Amino acid sequence: MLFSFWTGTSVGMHSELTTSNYTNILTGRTFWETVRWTLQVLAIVLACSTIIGVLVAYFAARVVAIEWVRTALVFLLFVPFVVSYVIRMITWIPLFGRAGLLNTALTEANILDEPSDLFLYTSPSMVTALIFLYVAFIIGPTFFKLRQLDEDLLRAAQNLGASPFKTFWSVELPLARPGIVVGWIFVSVMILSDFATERIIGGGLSPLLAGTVWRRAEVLLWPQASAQAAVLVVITLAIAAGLLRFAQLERDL
Amino acid sequence: MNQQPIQEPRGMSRRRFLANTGYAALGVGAVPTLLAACSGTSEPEHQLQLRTQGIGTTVLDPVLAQFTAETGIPATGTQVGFGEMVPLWIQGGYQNQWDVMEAQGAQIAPLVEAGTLQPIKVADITHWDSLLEVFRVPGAAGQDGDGHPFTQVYTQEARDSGALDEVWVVPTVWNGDSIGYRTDLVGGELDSYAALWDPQFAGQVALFNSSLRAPMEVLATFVGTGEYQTEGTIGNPSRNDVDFAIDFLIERKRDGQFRLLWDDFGHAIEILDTGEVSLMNAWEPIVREVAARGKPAVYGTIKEGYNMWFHGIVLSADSPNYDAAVAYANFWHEGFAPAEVANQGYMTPTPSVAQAALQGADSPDAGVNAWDYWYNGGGRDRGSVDDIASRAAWWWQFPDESEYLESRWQDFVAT
Amino acid sequence: MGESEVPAAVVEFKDVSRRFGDTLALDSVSFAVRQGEFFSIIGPSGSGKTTTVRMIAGLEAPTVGTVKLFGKNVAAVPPHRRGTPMVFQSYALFPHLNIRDNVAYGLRMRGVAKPERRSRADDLLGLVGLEGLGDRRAEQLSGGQQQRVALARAIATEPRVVLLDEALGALDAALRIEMQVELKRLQKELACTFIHVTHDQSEAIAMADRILVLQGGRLEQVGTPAEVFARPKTRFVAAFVGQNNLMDATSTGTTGDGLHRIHTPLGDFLAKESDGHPIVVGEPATLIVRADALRRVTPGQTPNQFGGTIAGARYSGTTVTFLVKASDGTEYRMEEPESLTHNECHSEGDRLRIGDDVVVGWDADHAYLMQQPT
Repeated sequence: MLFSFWTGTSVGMHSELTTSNYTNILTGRTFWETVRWTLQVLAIVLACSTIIGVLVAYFAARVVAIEWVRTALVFLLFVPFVVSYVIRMITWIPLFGRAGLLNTALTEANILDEPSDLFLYTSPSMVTALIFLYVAFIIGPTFFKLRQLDEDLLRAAQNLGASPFKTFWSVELPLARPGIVVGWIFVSVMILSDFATERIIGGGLSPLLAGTVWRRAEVLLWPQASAQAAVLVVITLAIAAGLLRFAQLERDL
Repeated sequence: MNQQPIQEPRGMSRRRFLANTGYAALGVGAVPTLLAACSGTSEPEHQLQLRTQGIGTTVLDPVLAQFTAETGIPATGTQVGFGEMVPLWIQGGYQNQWDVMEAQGAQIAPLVEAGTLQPIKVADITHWDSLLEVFRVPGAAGQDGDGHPFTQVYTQEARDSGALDEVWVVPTVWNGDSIGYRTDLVGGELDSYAALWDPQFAGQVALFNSSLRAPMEVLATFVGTGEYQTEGTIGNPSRNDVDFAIDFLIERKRDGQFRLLWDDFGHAIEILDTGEVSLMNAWEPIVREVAARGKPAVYGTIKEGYNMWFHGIVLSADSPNYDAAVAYANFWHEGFAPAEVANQGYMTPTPSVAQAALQGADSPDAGVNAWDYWYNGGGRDRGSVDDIASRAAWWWQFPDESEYLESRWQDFVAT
Repeated sequence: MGESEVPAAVVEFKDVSRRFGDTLALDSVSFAVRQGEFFSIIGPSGSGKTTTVRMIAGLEAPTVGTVKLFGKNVAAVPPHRRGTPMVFQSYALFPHLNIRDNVAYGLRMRGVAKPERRSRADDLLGLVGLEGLGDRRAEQLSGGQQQRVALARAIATEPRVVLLDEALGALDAALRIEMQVELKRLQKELACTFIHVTHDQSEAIAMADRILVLQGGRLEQVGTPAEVFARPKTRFVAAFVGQNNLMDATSTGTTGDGLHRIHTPLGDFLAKESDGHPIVVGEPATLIVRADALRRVTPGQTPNQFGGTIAGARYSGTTVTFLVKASDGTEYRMEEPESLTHNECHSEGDRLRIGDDVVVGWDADHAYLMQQPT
């Protein structure tokens, strides 16, 4: 933190206290554009992974009837995290690359005339990757919340005239919300500190905040990196605090 | 920047002050006395050891083991990321944990300015006169507009006096970065950085995600065609030079020229191997690996010249192991270490010393020895060692306008 | 009983069976519940009573057989369309809603507008004695209050049937009795059919118009509390309902005044045949003697008597129940008013202690002879 008030030069830094790193950042259009884009990506990823995550959690918790299948299903979601990040990311090339499975399938089915570049190294592909990387962190807590729920509550709701959908909407979803919010906090913190997905799947041309901070550090611009990291930390804490508050409104975390 | 005398920075840190005092003491050979005075005991017999730090390319267990076997000096090596090397010494305060950093040429200036190094006497380097001239002779072919690497190697004093008797760094490994491409995908041979911006390859180009690479390649391209004259140099551009390069890159990005930016070595191999991109600015081992996988990948011989770099031994100002560092540098100039790194395409600055050993080592091409393959034009897309050494567009450095360059590079990246 | 003639059967089970894996939870059960009835289903755990009530609610489906609601087969009707709210032992109040919104939940599901359903919920809270607590959370209320909320929630939509699954099971004894009275009052007031599941026969006897006794998934008896209590159809019902003593017996013939001479392990006695339950001479039967019918006698005072030893005693307020161990080792329960034991009129010598030898007997009128099912 202290570094961020030091003066950075190409050849190192010395400890003349300065606020120019902050003012440079606070007035830098590119930095705020990156902040805005990062928050936009975060919002999209949260929205999509919540929908997918809650549906999958519901499927695992309610539709799958056999206990061990259920456990295995949820456990499987976390298997990818055992594999090293770069290996996990490189597996995207044979799936979504020019000669990947998806392009091959689409061209063979005559849906595409020639392989598309859209599925890799683009913003949509990065967002998709982020969703599938982190959706497990929504599914996990939501699943456990749903399993925890007293089944009599569901029976009561049905007998009071709630269809399965209304039961989900009016009972299960509100009661699973603390789990979902915990997932949101996980996902937010991870996306705000993820500097790899943006590069390896996003192609590095639509950078997220953590990546730009990392870059500054890589090229020895420590004061600038520290200043940006401070902004990043503030944003992360603000989001986490806001979400926690949202969860605690109902006091049932 | 190193052609100017090093200016006293505006704020002088406590560390720098101590370090500078340390030099003075060292100049009269008083370090042991100083140490003894500090500890309050007399310790005339110092047990030499070598503690070295650097990236995985040069800090190698077999090399250290062989060094210890030949010299009897115990050696430990710590591999760290390129970006961590200097911060660990300067900001991290870990300088006194190591004797030697196997620093990259561009890292010398920050280390010198921070006062964390002690000079090494040329007289102690056994094979100094066998070093390629580009490192040790002013004005030799292959030096860039800033006189690099010559100006990076010697101390300011040694250059100013013309004595050339002290260096900050003893070069040990060097190479030139260039472009890599797939002849099957680009449909022929490429000989210019201009290919990276050529609309005919739109969407098929990957750039290394570094502000110190593509902008310089833009400048090299247009300096080469005579369409642009730099205010600074290619390696150390002025703000206007930076703006010219970045504005051009942004325009090309908007036109969809670039598929992605690459960061990771393994990832870079994959994208060229799978044909996700047809060409990229690359490191040699990336292209060699893709070629080894049977793909028609070529490491370009570029008319504008290579982006040259070298690593060498620098010695911590706090180190009591001067003799060990010198021995380690000398060891790198002989056959064993050059043969160890040869098959990554990395070369020794003392080819004549290492030649015999390299002729006994294998290359990727069965039947061709490492000397003929890597140093004697045996590789299909590779000239002789003298040829490569003479073709520099610029030598890696952190420009004076690094911060501005980096923020403009971010503009390009985030556009 | 002529149930099939009553057209207004609210619930009707016809040969309903339910199988869970290898277990038969319900075995060909048929019964009908009438409009406006307080109908209790009793049985020990595992008897199938919860399965039965869940089938009415649509939470379980029969493996075989038909369940009718208001005369219609409801096999294809999902729970939320059956209009059969249930009150649970766990109360099952929604923790994310306040009390008012809990009560209004059913109305909300029916699309009743917010102001209307809220005022209706407040009315209902008044009806169950909880006015003014609408803004509270369930966890802030006592068990008894939560149970009332659950009840108010169940009746909010004016259902024709309310299901109560061990609804009072979690309450303490005093509160349970208070709630029994309350439930009964509400049920009469609403003229609504209550189907009530309990393992506590005294609760069923106190509240029910009719009782269904289940055991091991089989129907043992359906009848009024008086019938079930005084005229159990099976040995199981006799043992489960009320504190009855059961004795294996065989009729050896009849006396002139309509009494059977019976042979039991404890000796030969006289027993009366009850209406509609003829006893076949020579076939195995069961003699049922209620605990409060058994009393101390002097030898020879009555033909129905046997000797034993006091093996234990249990005081419960107004009565004391002694265990009398007979010569064959079986223990019989004898219930005496507490005054008999502690009344000052009794000398110390009359006070029974464990180990005392006693002779106990009963009047033939107070015993009941039942042919054992073959």
